[in-house]
Amino acid sequence: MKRNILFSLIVLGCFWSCEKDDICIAGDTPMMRITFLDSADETSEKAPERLLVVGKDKTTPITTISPGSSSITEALIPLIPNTNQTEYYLVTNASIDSEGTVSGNIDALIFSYTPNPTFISKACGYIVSYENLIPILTPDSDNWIKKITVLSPSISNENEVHIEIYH
Amino acid sequence: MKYTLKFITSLLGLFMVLQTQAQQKKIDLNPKDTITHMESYGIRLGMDLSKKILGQLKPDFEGLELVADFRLSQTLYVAAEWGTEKKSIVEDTYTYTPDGSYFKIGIDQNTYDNWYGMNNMIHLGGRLAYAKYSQTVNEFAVFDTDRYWNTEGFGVSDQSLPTYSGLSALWLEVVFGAKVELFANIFLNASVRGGYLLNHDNNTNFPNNWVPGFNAVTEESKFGVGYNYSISYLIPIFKKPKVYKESEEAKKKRLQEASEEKSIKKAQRAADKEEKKSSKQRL
Repeated sequence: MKRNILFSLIVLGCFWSCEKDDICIAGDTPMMRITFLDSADETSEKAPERLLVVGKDKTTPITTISPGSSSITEALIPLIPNTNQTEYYLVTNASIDSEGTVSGNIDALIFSYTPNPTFISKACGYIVSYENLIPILTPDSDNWIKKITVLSPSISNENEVHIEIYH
Repeated sequence: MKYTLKFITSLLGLFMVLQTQAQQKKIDLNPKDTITHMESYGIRLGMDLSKKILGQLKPDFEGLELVADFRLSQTLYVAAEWGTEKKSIVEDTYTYTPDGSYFKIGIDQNTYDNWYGMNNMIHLGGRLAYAKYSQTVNEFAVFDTDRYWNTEGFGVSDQSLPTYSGLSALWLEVVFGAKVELFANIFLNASVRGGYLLNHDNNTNFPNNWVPGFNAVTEESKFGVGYNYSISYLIPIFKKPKVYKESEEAKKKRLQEASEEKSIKKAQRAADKEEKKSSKQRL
């Protein structure tokens, strides 16, 4: 019996409690790259005057371009990766008054797409690429955007241009 | 009366004869122990307790493991485990549920020398294991370093991913454990296992870092660990005599006797040869 008790004391158990120190470096969700072109001369780039890009229901402009700049011919625009559409306001001749109200020529642009989740690693989880990218310009009385073409309907690499905006 | 007396005297006479006969037998003062100690052999069936308890404590875990072994010889056992497991795993940006069953088969070698009547084990063993399972991603957020739309953390996707079924894994296990007989034929068992993955479906679009039966799979490593705590019941089928380990002294004695016998035989053979030779010469 004594030996049995001794036996019972041999409790075999291994409990590893490691702090999770996984850092995701393997991948990231790409952004959409747009270029601004001259509607009169479709081969030349043309920067919109004092451009401001604000997401719908957002209070701050996107940070990938400097707000109010007149020299933007190419920009990276973040899309919402967990839904299937993103709406932006592209404002030219923009000015913000003391109360934070934006005025200028505001064009509303909706990007619809199908997010395609890709599992990267244990630490990263899922990123998405976007498929079937379709831009929809909301018509108003004074659209500064004249034409939009889709160069690449799928976004998996943010170094190539996906959308061309003519104005 | 006359007959009674005659009967008694003749009976006494008979006893005396028997006694003298008995005394003619050689008395062995150092008789060999001929008692054989029988030990039970049979199938031991049991169930893992830790999985049951975990299942009660944690709502995100369901598991069952049945264990069995069959004794082949004094120290060797064939052992097998069958189990099912369903576990929800929460990672930083996603949660998923591996669900499946596994089967392990192999041998255990008892390294513990029991006293007679004891039936305990400290065993080392090996297993070949196979699991068939599915992975379901319950929820995932999209990893995105841009903070414009999701200012804090990652946005939980409104998409749902299909269940990835028909997955399999094959691995080897080294088992170290102990079995203690608590009451007659009832055993409490514990073991730790080190696994080495041989094959694992891992190049697809889902998290696959948990395999039922193998437990956590580490990226870029094929090793894993597991344990089990089970209770089992021995169904005795037949009995076999216990094989005792020979003591050093007995072994020495046996070897010496054998060598003596050999040398005697050798000498005898030599003598026989000589005799034959001489008889031939005489002829």
